[in-house]
Amino acid sequence: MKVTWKWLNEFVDLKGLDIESLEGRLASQGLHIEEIFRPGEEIRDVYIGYITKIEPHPDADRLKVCSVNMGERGVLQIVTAALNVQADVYVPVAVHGAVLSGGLKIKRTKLRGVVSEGMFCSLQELGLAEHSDGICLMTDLPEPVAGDPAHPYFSLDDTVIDFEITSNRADCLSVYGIAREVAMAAGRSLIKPLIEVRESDIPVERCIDVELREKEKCLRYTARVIQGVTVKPSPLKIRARLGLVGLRGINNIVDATNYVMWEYGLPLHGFDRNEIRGEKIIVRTAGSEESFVTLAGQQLKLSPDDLVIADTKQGIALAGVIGGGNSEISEQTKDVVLEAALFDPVSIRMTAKKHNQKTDSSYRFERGMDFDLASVSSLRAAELIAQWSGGSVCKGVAERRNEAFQPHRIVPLRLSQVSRHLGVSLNEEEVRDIFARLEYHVEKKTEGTLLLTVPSNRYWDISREIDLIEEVARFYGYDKIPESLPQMTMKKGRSDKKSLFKEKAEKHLLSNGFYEVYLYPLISEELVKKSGYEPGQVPRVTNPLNREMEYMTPEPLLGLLKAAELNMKRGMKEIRLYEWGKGYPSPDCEEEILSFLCTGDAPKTVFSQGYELGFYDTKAVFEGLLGELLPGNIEKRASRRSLWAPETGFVYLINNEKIFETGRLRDELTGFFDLRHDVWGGYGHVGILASQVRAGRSFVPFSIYPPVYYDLAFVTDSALPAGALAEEIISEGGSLLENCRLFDLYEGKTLPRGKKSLAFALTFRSQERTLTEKEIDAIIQRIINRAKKKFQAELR
Amino acid sequence: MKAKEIIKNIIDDFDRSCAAVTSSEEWNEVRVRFLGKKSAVTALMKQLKEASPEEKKALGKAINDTKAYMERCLEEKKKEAGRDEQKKLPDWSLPGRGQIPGKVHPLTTVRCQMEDIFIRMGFDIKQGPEMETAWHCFDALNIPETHPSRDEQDTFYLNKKNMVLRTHTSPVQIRTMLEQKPPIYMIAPGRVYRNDVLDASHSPVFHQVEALAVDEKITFGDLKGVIYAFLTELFGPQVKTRFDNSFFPFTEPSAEVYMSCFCGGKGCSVCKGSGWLEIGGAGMVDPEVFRAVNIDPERWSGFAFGFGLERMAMLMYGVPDIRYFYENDLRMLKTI
Ligand SMILES: [Zn+2]
Repeated sequence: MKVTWKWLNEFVDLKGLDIESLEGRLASQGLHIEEIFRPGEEIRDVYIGYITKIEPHPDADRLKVCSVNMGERGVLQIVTAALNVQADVYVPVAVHGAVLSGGLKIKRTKLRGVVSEGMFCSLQELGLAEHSDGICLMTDLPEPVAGDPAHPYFSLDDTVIDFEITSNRADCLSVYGIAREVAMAAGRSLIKPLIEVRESDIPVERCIDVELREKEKCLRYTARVIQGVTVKPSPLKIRARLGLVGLRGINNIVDATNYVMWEYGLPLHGFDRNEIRGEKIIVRTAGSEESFVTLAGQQLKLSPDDLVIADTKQGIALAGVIGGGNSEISEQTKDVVLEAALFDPVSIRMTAKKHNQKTDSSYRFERGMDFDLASVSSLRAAELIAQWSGGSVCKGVAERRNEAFQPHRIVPLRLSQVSRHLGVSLNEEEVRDIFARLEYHVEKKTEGTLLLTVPSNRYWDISREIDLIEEVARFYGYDKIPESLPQMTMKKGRSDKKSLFKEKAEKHLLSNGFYEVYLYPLISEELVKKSGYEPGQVPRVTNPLNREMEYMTPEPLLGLLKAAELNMKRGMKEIRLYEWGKGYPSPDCEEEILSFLCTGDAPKTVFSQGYELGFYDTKAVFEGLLGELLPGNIEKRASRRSLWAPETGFVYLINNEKIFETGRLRDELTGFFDLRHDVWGGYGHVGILASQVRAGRSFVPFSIYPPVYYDLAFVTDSALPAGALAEEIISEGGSLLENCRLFDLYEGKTLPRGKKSLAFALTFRSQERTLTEKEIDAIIQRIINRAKKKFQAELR
Repeated sequence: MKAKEIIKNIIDDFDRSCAAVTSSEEWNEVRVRFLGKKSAVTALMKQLKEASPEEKKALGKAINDTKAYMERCLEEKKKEAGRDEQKKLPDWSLPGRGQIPGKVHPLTTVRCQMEDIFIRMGFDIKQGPEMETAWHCFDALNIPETHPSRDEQDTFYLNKKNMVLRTHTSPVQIRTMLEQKPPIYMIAPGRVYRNDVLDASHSPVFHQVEALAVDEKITFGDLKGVIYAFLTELFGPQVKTRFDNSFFPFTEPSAEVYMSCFCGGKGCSVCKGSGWLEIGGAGMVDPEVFRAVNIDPERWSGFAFGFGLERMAMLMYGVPDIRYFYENDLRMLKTI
């Protein structure tokens, strides 16, 4: 909500203050300033000029050469392409060195060979309009002085203050409402300016009749009539002020209603009286098939929930939302019917929402307008219309209202509740004082309870005791309430299995060099399909930010591919990532998923050879994870998911429930993300994994006798898994074999084709005694025999 | 063999072995072999018992001389071997050996720090779904369809009736209060969604940490006190707080919470010159919210507040753009 400093000063005398000095106090009252803007600091060197002569440009039909009297600044020659340029008018002129809105700099220049010493300005270039409709001809000003700075003529010496107004504070959607808060903040009093309207002898009833059929949806309807208006642009100063607060000048009638809406808050509407059939305004609901054309030319299909303002034949406005094209103020308008009404916020909100007609008017009405505002707003608009259009105001107001509606709520406040909620005790006098300053009527009900009459401008916002307590806190000052800590009672502490699991799992990820990432769980339809899901089954956002973020991801692992792609593109070579994410395979399912992947190369270092990241790096992680689970019924099967390249995917299950999958990502997926290396990864179902986590293990007694070491190397078929041979060794080694470690795997020239060498380091140790060489030799011989018998493995 | 001969052999053997020593490992082997429990000299000592008194005396002296000789030689050799080893000192400029561990994301680090403080204060951690019903996300929180505040939520709607992506972690309050009777002290850290522009300070997906306390005597002063205790623990004792009036449908009175900027109030680019940093919203639980979850507002009162996790992390680490958290550039993940 933009207001200007000078406009505020029409309602509260702020002499000696500036907005910066009030900013902190206003913020604590709940009025945050978003921006303070002084157009005069941006726009420089614009002066008033008088065009004395216009001549054609010798070399360009579109251009004209003007002589401009700049008073003390001499006479300038300015070349212009403006269509509306004319002689003998005052115009704002940006001279050499001037700066205009948006930082546009003006310099002396040559246009098609003719020197131009400046530029005529439109309201747009002065920052007062969104679009330019030609240069600004200052025709309605009594006595501009050529050579004067343009700033005061265009209100550019004013300060624009943009307030952020929360949705409960409809009372602050006006200069007047903000002035009320500013007055409180500054400790000055609010001025209620005198509004003077000279009414004619013609009673309004003779011109218009009002029938209010819907008293729940329209609480009050008033109409005034102004006769004999001349519709034309409103005064320049007004257009400039409207421009400063972001409104567009249209004509003097519409500008007057907009000006008053900004000033007092209430949206007003002007109808062309001659377009109202039957000289009657009927406030009614729409018929079930009724259609309505807005003044923007949009055709709407109404329903009986919608409130319309109608004449005896048809709807002429969608109440409180938008006017109709059929009764709009035009240049031909002679008599104006001025509506000032109060509509029910919910009704307006639902209609505006349904028809997608969010207007300045609906914005205000749906937040709740002040019942009492209708009179003053109507009077003020009549004053301005009469002043700007030369019309005469008919006598009186045609008004209908819901008599049962009481705009001044009475709410009781128990003083004990103030301290109960705020933690600070205020005495009755202090509370009374705050409410008196806020224009509440205060009465004592019983000892300790006050009866407060809420001003009509806060009707929609303040209806409960707690709302009053906030008012007390707001003006007592949040900063004065002392800090304290709650007096808690002790309770049972509970440990959490999931966080225990997460902690254990994370240990394996981190120690293996994986980095945690955070991803958007929103993906495109294409990616949903690529992941093997039906888009129809996956939860979809109906109003996505863009197509790339339309579906909830059923497969968080895909997000990791994207993060891997980004890092690859930025030159990272060694990529190990994991995420504690969620999968959303259906609208009823939202499951915590731990995903991880690795791709790229681990570089060669002083201590180790480089290698391509792959299966063994992911195995380090899932082996670690599985090791944290309760031992026993974990089962491993080949995975059938299309996520994995053929034969690489495996799934682990507990009691037939999947806990974990791992494999190499299918080339089609990695290719989609422009990843050229193999990508190995996996994901786990956090909930089930956490339920299976093992808290600790039992102590295993260890031997104090000396170990005997023995190395054994076998030559086997290349296809034989090392683990199979190790199992046989362990089994044959029996209880004396403490450890069996594969320390070398060799395939190469010195071996026959199709063969490999597996070398194991064995540690033997007894729980009871020192082992003898003889004992060990016997075991080794049995191991060799068994390896030979089972796998035709030869000792190397 | 005579003892003298044996001793001579031992000394010859020792001299040869000692001369061959090049490392401290070898030095140690020689020491154990010639002076240890199983050494030839020790074996000779055992023979002493059976010898005649004169022999005992002579042999004893010879053994002791031999031992002294060997110890002297070894002492010499140790210095020598040590000198050799100096050449093999490690290169301190090389990195340590072993897998360089990964790191948790900065948002996790900050979240854990926040959780830690609250847990120590006695708050429980609660969670709830991200695909949430409109009732939990809005209606129960006094944000009815009929009120304009509903529009300010910038909601993402799902293609299932009355389901939305939660716009805040406040529905977890509702779920907790429906599940459990007061007193309640909980925080709900979690992912939330807003249909908002994506720029340096706005992300359509972000995280909040929500806190709720419901008890018999909770006051606005408690709200201020808990936030102050939390912020000073997280950012240091120099932090000051400021509470401005604001509006949230689910709290009354409501406040916008600010903390003093790290520039000490002088004004800098982080606080845009104001000296204050906006960090979240807070307030006393609105009686309408209590009514929606069947808690008697005449008996219980409560406070709630919510902070943006990304905002906290940006302040803590000086991250200039919220989008960096979701790009996951490894260079940032490794640094922070
Ligand atoms: Zn600062």
